[in-house]
Amino acid sequence: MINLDTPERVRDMLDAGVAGLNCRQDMRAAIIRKQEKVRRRNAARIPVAAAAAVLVAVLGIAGYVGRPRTVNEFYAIEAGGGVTVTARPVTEHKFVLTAEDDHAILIHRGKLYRMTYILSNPAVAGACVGSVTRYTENPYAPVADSNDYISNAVFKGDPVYEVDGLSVSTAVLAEVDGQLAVFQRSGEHGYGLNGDSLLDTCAVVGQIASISLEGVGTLEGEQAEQAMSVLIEKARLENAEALPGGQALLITLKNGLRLELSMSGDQLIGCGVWDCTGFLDTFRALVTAHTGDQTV
Amino acid sequence: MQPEAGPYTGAVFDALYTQYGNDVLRTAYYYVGEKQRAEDICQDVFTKLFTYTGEIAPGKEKAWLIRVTINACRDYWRSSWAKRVILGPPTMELIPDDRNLIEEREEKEMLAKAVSALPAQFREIILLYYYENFTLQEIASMLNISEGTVASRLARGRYKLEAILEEVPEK
Repeated sequence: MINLDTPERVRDMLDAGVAGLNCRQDMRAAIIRKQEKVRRRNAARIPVAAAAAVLVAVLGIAGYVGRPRTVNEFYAIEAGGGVTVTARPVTEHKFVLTAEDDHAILIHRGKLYRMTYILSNPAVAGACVGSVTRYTENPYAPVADSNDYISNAVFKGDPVYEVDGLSVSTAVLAEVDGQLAVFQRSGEHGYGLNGDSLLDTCAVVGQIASISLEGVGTLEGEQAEQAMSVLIEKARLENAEALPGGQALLITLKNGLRLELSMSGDQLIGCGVWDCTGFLDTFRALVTAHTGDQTV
Repeated sequence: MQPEAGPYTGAVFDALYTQYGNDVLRTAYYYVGEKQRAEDICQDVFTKLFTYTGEIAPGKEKAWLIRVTINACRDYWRSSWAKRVILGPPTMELIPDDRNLIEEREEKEMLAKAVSALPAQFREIILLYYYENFTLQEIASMLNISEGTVASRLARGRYKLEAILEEVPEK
């Protein structure tokens, strides 16, 4: 039986299986010929493409004016402190945006955790709180109050750790492919708050280094704690379940761990959807007061 | 007006072709299972490199090439759906060199066939991780999906691969 636990061995076997397949000189010659063809074709297309681009730009601007704001647009601070609604920029925080239905998750006692990213600093790992007892391709099916650690990404027997100083209701760490990955509490597929509050699923008060709201700005230290207090105070539960979306709200803790939530208008989306009317104004005011026209 | 060729021409192109050409070709072969098609994809990928006018971060050239390769393979895989349904999937055959002709041939053949039998979304992750040696973060970046999705697909791909390998009767 081929052992998949040793990637080097698998790689060697795969490589040896096609070692006789090599780029030939005639292939390189064909590429050069193709390049010439493509260049000629592109040269012919440039005037047409330029005209089309102008048309698209004109139509696009016309279509944008007066259009209601959608979830794909978000607030950003302009120079001078005003607020504008902009198109979504490219973001690297795919957890916030992902609609992929085969995301890595971990479930334990009715609490669902979504993998956000591979941890670069394993020193934040606290005590081992268990190990995955069942790997399954369909993790949502098992009984909600099962004491098992169930995952579609962490294999059976691999350990689960708490984050040093952080509640397991907020996040845990688990080994994925030999590296520690952050699994953050989320509400989806029938797994909601399970009796917890926002303060439990985002238990970071006193530990925040910074909070960034994508497109608006970053608050650090006391201002970040202040914003978090306002968020907790204003939050009213709207729905126990929702997939993240909107603009990323990133909470970086003093130990370097990052929690990824999102804002869609006045709604905070993390573990559940929370109406946080007024939070955005507070956040914006704090950003403009302390950093001027900073935009991330 | 003729568009300017990008920065990946001449000696730079030759160096990248020499260094990564086989990676591109072999990855494409494992993905599509047809030698001629893999060669076509390889040529398309390097044609794109030649005409690419953007800048690839130094050290990320292989990742760029393999990402373009995977996209080309996906396009081909989708477009050849009817052909695969009517004629059946391509039969993956080993193309070893003289040195690897006999040694562990059966095991290698089993593995290659098992990889080619995986659904495309798992096959590409398995190839990128096991064959091309990319990390989960690199794969996420290349395929524009989250690290969590890569982790889940890798685990599921591996699980399926083990299941296929267990089914293969040992001689």
